[in-house]
Amino acid sequence: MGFLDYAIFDEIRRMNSRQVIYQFLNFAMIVSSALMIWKGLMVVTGSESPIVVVISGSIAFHRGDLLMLTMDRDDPIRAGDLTAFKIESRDIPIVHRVIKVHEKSGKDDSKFLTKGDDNMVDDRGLYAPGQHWLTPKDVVGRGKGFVPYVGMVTILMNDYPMLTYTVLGLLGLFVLIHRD
Amino acid sequence: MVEGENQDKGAPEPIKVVKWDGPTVKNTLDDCVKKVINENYSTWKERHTLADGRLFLSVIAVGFAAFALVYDYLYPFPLSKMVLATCSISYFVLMFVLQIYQWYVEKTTFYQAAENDGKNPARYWRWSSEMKRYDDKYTLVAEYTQGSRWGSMKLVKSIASYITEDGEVLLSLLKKDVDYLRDQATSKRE
Repeated sequence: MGFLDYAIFDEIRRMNSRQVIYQFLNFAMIVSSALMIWKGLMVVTGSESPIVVVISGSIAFHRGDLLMLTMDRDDPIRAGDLTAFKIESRDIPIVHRVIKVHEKSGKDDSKFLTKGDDNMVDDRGLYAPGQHWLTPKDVVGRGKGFVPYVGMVTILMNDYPMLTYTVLGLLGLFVLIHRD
Repeated sequence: MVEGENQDKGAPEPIKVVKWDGPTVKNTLDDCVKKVINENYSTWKERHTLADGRLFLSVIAVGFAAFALVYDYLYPFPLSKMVLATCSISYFVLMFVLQIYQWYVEKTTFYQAAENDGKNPARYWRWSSEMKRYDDKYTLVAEYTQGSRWGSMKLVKSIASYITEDGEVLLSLLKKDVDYLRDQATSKRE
């Protein structure tokens, strides 16, 4: 039997060109909806990564928790805030508490020091060589809320890329060959 | 005259369907009605205005999303903030419009045609169908407008009237009902 002769492909074989185009558009709309929700969240929260997944946990945040970030450049960073920041040349943001703040006249002139709640020492060991303080430019967002466990799916997909491709591939195929 | 049974070599592939899969059965019957009409009514020409409208709306919506994606890639956030906001809002508005379109404009229509016999003004046909979940009753409605005249006829029958034990759709039986609906719709004077 040819590949397309299997029974699950009955519907798609009988579709005319308009219906086939609509199936692809349907798929595109599902992808677009996810994309627009994500970009919409970026606009609303003001943060580049409005939702992040905790990879290495602490007492407050466990591995697999989903964290919501907002970014308001006009709201000064204060000691006690949970901030998500990026170290130069590292992709993964770190979410730790600000323990010291030095402010000068301008907003962009502040410097802060962070420390993870569970850690014995501050984060200077994590900063880039020669860097002793963080500046507002390094901040990606402020932790505003979290949802436990939900992020485990993202971690799994990250650790096992074949799983991601298989699941997404099957979902995509399903959408393409079924109507409505 | 017997039609639809595979007795000669040149017969078309029988149309089979999983008879317990409601939505697929409805879609298949719809496709068969279209096939019967397109193959037998020579003065009828299929129209796709409703489907095209839906495709158009979908394309515009996806266009907004694609534009946002490309713009954000070229001018990363926060430069793209206004564009992202506009595209996002437009996209969801269009999704809403599309849904309204499908509910109120397209409704349950699956086939449109223009009947032109050269003498009278054209008749515009609209065929729609419905089948409730877990129900075996297939409702087929034929409506037409011709200038200021219009007519319609409805038929409700169990799918068992057209589909065999093995799930084969018998086009000959379906054609009888399609002919019946067409004749009844046009003979009633409104």
